Amino acid sequence: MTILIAEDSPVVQKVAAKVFNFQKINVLVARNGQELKEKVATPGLRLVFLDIQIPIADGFECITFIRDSADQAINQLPVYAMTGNAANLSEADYIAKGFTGLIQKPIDYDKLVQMVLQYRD
Amino acid sequence: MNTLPKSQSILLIDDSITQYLMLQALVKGKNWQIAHASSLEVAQERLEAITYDLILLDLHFPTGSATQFLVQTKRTCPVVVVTGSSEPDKWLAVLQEGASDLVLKPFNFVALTQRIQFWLSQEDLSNDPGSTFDQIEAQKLISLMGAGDWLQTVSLFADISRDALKQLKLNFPNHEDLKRLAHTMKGEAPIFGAKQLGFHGKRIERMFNATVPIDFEVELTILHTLFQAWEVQRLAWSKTQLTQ
Repeated sequence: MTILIAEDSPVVQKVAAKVFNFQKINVLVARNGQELKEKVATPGLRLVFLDIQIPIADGFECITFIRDSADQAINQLPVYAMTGNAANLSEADYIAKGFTGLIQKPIDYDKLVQMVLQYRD
Repeated sequence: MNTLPKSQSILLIDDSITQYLMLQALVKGKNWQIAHASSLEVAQERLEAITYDLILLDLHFPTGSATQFLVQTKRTCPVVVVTGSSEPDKWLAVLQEGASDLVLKPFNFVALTQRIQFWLSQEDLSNDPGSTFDQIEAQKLISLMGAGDWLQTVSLFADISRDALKQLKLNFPNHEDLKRLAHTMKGEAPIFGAKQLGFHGKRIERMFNATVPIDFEVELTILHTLFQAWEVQRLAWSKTQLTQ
């Protein structure tokens, strides 16, 4: 299984790779919105985690790009928003914008791993 | 000839392999070795055989509790409890059983690294005599009790309820009050020969200076515990003076 993490923090990238590789989950990293737009078309991609504040194109622009894609393999992808500033928007707000759900930062990796494993075929 | 500094060893006691992997990724490039014990039993075996510089201890285990572990296990290094529990009763229990610090999960990586760094830089506390009261210190205490606002502050802190602590949290704008208190603790501690008191004061002050994000509820709970213990000791001492 392959997942994509769009996140510009090298620490989060490093930790996610370590934690998910152990579970035999392949982790692709997008450091900005442009890289996300390219990597979201990777065959076999199962799940996306998208930090709202990534550079070049932010999380909201990226989710619109994904949901508006003509390719069903892309527009149907589960995409979770990640943010440390959830005070302004609720999970329902993110869902209304096209996200599948919201992951609060700091990330609870125990919970995240359990959630990702549910998507494994 | 260049010699590499000796690496420092950390034992993570946590039943989650994910926490171990996360920590491993986090300390990459630092001179820290992480060992993992997935149960309290394994941890006990390891501690009998190997000396570590720091223990990170989860609060909950299927076969026992961190509190029990702290009571039963002989150790020679600081223990930092890591927990997702939001129950201050449990925090207090581990702090009272000798845990040096408490860090809440999920981790803020910057804060966690700073805390680890801080505890690894401390000298061995296993021989810490704690707040021992000899006669000279007692005399100093009497004079300070008569004059100082500081003990009143401590007494007040020790008496307030945990609910009030939450309210207090709102009354620390700009961290200034807590910072001042930490500074006072650090300054007053040598007079009382209270190593732990100075130690915590120093720790809190250092966290402010390093602008590490801190959890106020945890910090206040630690202070509260410390002051309660201090107050109990002070009252016990006063009692012995009255009966003489």
